[in-house]
Amino acid sequence: MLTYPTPHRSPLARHWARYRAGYAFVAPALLLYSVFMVYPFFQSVYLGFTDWNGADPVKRWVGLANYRRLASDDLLWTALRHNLVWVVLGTVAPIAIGLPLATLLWSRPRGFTLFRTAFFLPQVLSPVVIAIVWSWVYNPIFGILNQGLDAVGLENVSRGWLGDPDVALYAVLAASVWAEVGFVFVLFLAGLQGVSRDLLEAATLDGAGRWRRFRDVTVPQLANVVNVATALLLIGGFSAFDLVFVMTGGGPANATDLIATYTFTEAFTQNRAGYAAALSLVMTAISLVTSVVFIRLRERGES
Amino acid sequence: MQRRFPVLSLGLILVLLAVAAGPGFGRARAQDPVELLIWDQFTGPETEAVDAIYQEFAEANNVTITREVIDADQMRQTLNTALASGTGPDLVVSDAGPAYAGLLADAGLIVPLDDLAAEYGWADRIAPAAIQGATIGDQLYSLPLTIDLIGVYVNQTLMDEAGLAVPTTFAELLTFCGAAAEAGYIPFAFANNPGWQAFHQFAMTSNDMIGPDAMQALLFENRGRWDSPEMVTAIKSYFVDMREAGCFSDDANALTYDDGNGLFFAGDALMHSTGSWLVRDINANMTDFEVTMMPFPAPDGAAGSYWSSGVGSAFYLSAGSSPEQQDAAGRFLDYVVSPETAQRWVGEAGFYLPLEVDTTGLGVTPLFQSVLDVLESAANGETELGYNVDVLAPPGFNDAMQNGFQAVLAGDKTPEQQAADLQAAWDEGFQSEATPAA
Amino acid sequence: MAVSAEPWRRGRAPWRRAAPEVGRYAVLLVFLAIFLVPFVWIWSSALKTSREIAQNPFALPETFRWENLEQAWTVGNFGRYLGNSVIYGVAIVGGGAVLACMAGYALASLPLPGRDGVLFVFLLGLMVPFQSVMIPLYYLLRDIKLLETYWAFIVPGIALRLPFGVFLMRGFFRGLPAEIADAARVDGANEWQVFRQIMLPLAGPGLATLVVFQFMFTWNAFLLPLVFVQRDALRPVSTGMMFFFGRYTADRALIAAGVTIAMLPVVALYLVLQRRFIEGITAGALKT
Repeated sequence: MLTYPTPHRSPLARHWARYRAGYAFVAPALLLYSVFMVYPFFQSVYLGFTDWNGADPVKRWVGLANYRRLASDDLLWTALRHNLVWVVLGTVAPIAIGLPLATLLWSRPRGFTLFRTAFFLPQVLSPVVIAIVWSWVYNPIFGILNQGLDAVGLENVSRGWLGDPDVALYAVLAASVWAEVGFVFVLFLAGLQGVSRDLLEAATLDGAGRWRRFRDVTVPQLANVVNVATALLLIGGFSAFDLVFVMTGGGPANATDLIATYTFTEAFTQNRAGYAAALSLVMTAISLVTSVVFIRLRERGES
Repeated sequence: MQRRFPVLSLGLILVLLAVAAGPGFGRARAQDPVELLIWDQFTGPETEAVDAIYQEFAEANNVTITREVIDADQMRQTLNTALASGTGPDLVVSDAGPAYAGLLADAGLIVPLDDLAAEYGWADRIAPAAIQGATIGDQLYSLPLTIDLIGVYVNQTLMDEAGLAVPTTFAELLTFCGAAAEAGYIPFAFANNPGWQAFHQFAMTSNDMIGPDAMQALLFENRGRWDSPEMVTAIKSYFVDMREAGCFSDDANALTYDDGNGLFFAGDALMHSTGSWLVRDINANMTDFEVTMMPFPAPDGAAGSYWSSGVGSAFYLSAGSSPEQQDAAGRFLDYVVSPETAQRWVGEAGFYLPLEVDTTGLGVTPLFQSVLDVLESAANGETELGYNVDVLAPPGFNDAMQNGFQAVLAGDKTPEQQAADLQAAWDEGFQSEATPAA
Repeated sequence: MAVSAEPWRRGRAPWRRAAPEVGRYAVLLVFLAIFLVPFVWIWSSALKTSREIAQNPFALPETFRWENLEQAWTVGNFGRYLGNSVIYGVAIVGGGAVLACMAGYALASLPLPGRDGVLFVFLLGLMVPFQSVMIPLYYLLRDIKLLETYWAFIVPGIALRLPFGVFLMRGFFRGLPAEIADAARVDGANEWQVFRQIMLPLAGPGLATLVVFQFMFTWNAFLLPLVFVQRDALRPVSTGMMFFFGRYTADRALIAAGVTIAMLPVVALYLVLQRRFIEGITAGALKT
């Protein structure tokens, strides 16, 4: 790194001479980021202490009233419960499906490209398209799911998937898992490239079965990929919005409301910007804590 | 020597911002013909007539009208942000009442129309009941365009074929459901996704149970209760008894309104309980069938069997429009409820208006005429109409209806609980939200 | 991505290996069906009448009704929405890449006081959900009159994705040897020239990853344009598609045609560039 020997200048001038390149390169990004992310974030914090309706010129300070209301807001707890289901299943399921799929294609058997292309395909599609396609799949009149079930004699399983409060959340979640599997799958495919085959062969020679080789030799070497996939799915899970918004709007009987859809409704249809800001910060806090815990775990795993 | 890169980096952003002159990158400028953006919900067969009616005004008045047609549910989800953005519609056709126009009025997004109404004398033309339905607090927040009549459509052709008699009491209705299901039909094309459809079912049964006078007292003066035994019966009759009698598809909560309409149009379902706005779709889609409409049969202990009615589509005026646009919008609204245009709404679009319209020579169908007859006899004081609930209730009450009736229909909630939740939502909403004055 | 041959697993066709192979392909084919059948169904529905769609979902169209696509294209305004999506894609990917490369480079290789603080602020941005800024941002964009322009999506789109881009590019620049830059400085190059002519070309793979990631984000973004893009003429295909679906929901053939049109461009692009897509996503996820 070069330094600029300029002994006769003032400290400020020296500082400027040394750092101006760094400042100039960072400034545009930092400026944009500060104005359109950092500043609004603090505005959110502020709004959370007001009962602003999105229109009044005066934002009335109400202290912690919004946060006190959170505790007794049944809909919030319902939504958080749904988010918990979403985050757990929406993280576990794609990994549980994506990892075995990746191992099946590890050796790049015939048709590798076809399979990989197809499994990853939902990832490139807009969530709106996925939501519409799956609303159709679940439609009780012409949807292929019920018709397929009927065709193989499982009439008693078929139902109005998105209209049954007991299954609607899982139905939407299934569409989400379907879309996320491809992402996790390609991560594992890449991760498997780094798995030592010598160890596997050694295990085979030691008489370890398929399952034991997979569990004790392959999976531990993929810990980093599992971590990354988990972190990304977790963060996405707390702010999940798109599929629910388009497929069910939170219904039936609030059975699919998530904290993100609830926040949207409060902010943009019920005129409760202040309360919605508080909701959004709850979501932020939960997802930050989860991320931090996760990063800690990851660091510990790496060291 | 190193002056260049800050200039370049910052310059890039400045250039991007400065190039902002092209359409979409720059702001819309006021131009000579006034531009009006109208959002409406007319997605059905009436859509071409609506276009023609808008355009006639545009051409005669040096106004450019852009029309965007938006599904009712999506409009509810997005209208608030659109209006608040300052780039949204100038005129909106949506529902009247505190839960719709009222929410927007609370946020200062739409303006009262009282001055325009006085200037143009709308109150002389429009039925007082419709004006009342469009009034929130003591201000007129929307111009009522249509009125709705809610009842039960019957596919007479298929009823005759199947040898089924039209039920006249609730007990007969339950028996009918069993017989119709046995004959391979879905008795009622009830579809309750996303859930607003239940508003109208509840309006029918609750008006039947307590009668229009008590309903008026409850809705406008908060005299009476939503958790009374009569209301519990109103909820139970439709969402429990009829479900158990096999009146609906098992998937009613999953079927969209269009799915349900499709079942009725195709002759898979014999009856369909919904509003008179569907008459035009029925006329367009069911030319092979004779369809009639009747009020919902009275449940046991009911005050009677009544049609429910209320303001349907109504025009709001955005607070974000310029004075020129508001002025043009005022003229447009006056054109909308002028006698000449009224004839076109009825004859071409198939709307029911809260205005006196000469329908001779318009060639309306018997079904359309039958609804007109009911509305006319109500206007003459010969028939007493019940009140459609959701267009007069506060938003929290509608939420409680939407989610609660879905839960009752799914068997996850008892009618008693739902009645109690409705009362609680009403208590909260009636006090804090402005509800139409009597 | 190295392809290693591993005969130990594939087995040169001894008959004992045949059974696992059958099992493997059975599983793979089931998943292939799960991922493809919904699309095949929608695409074939796009060429049917609404009545046919209701009758037998698995039947081929009686006649291929290509006019459905034509009709959907016209009434659905898809030319406009797709065009808008391209505008957003170019602006957000391009603008975001410029800013992220510069900042990532500075944070990796230039002397900068408070570097850790800057990094920390960007790191937070990686972890907070968009909703935490959504509400005030809407009012901010409204007050500075951006909501009625393309900028309503471009500006927050770039800002929202900066943390990811900055970290990704910083990672790539950190992997480059500092001696190259120093050598150029000794030869009299200024800092911009060092960045533009020496370092940036070396970060090509990182840039490719960034472009793929940002493109996918922009093209598929939904909540952001739902809240910020209020004029129909400015809508990208994602929200435009949603309103199309709402308005014409009763016309199933038209919806299927619209869905097909909305996904075709990106599916085609993906099929042509699928390795780049997959490698970009993999690298972006694993290296940030």
